[in-house]
Amino acid sequence: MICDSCKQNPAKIIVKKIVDGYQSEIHLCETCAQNNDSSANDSNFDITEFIKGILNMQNSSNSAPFPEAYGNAFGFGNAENIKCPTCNLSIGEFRKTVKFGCDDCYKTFDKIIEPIVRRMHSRTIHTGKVSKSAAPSDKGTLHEMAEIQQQLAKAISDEDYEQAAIFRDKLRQLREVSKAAEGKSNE
Amino acid sequence: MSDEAYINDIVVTTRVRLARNITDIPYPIKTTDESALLAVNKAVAATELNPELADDHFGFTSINTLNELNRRSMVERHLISPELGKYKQSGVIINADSTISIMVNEEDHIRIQCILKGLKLLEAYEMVNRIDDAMQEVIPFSYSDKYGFLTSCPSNLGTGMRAGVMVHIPALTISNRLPQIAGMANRFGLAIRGMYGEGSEALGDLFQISNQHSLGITEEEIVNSIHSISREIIKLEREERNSLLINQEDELKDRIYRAYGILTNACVISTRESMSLLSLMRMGVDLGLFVDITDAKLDDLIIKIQPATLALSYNENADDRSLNIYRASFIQQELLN
Repeated sequence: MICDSCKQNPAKIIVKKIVDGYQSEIHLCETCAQNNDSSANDSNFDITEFIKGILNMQNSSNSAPFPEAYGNAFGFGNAENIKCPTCNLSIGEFRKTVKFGCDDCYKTFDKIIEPIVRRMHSRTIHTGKVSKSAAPSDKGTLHEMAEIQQQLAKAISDEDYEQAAIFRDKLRQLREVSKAAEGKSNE
Repeated sequence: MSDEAYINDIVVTTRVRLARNITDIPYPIKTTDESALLAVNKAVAATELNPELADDHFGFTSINTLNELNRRSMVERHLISPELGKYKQSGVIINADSTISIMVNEEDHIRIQCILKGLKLLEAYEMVNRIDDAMQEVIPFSYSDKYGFLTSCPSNLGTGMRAGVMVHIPALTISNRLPQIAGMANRFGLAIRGMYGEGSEALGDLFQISNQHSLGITEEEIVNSIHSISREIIKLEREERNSLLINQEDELKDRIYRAYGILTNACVISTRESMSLLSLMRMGVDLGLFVDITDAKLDDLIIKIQPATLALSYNENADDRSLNIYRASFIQQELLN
């Protein structure tokens, strides 16, 4: 068996991981296993695959069953080559390290961030401490969305699907409102 | 046993950290010498030179001024992460009693961390929150309404907070109930790892439990979920210890006294072996088998026998063999005096 990481040397070590209740196995050669010690590689192994998945979705040959779930990642053109104008980080680099290079990366790669964030946190809107530097903006809608997101999660875990559907529709509605507001502020 | 001691024999330490970045400076992976130095200067201005934090007596140490052994010892004492030093101009700002350490230019510009003994989630959170507030008076942190505090890795977005406890659960380990604990942690949205964090081995039956999600959840919710699981683990570990005492009292005492026997008679001993034996002894202390020794003493000893920390107290050039010999005599001295 060939090493899953470098795809060159024979794999000698099997790394077993249980993430979110799912067991996965990675076969590594000795060199890659040593490098795999670092925490970054360890926690990001499956997320790098996930990001690759999102980026590959734009190729029509590899279409996802629910492409709309990935937002607008498809409108990206040749995404691998897109670079942040401020720090020069490319999406290819991000895929390898799962680290952004500056605040502006969050604007540059905006379209692919939401599915990644959702995958990592199950949520997409901050509800915690507000920064002192936070600009006054349309926090009302965002906070309402976050609240409904929580209620939706609770309804699903309580198996109350009727309520869940109501929250889902409400969330969709608010998302439209928030998008419209964003569009206006960008004009 | 007081309520606190009742908890502290299982929850060894509590840790809370906040990840922050300074606006308009590229993150450490994309930094230049100039911008990295700017981040250091701003971090120092917001801590060491911040009148609001004068009572904390913060001091900055550049990683470049530490030799390899000192750096490793700081990792062993959980003051810095093994990754500190990977990027330009990194260092750490530590308060007088080493309960708060602020890493500069690790993966993010700033990582404010507080470690306290026992189960003290609220206290630890309040400490880092106070530092965060005071620093924000001096430097603006990267923030978006949607994603909260911006971090280099999106896994830390939102609160930028990771809270966790280190638990000592030898009875649950003996009874092979770790998968059950891991499953429970998962349902709470928490992760379970070895003593030295991600990817590390669980030496001495010590495990870290911390939150996986930092976005879409409030700081209070994170604190509460770690608190609930800690109480649950304390209960399970205690039940398991009782059941071992009822069903296999002699076998359990035999294991513990043998551990003590080896620790007080060995001539050569590795870190790994010491830790698994000290773990058994620690359970012995909790069960009242050793009257002159406390958990606190053993917790201290576990840090002191780590390779780099031990070498610093012995001989900086010691090789593994002489370190293993010295460790054996060091442990004997600590346990018998």
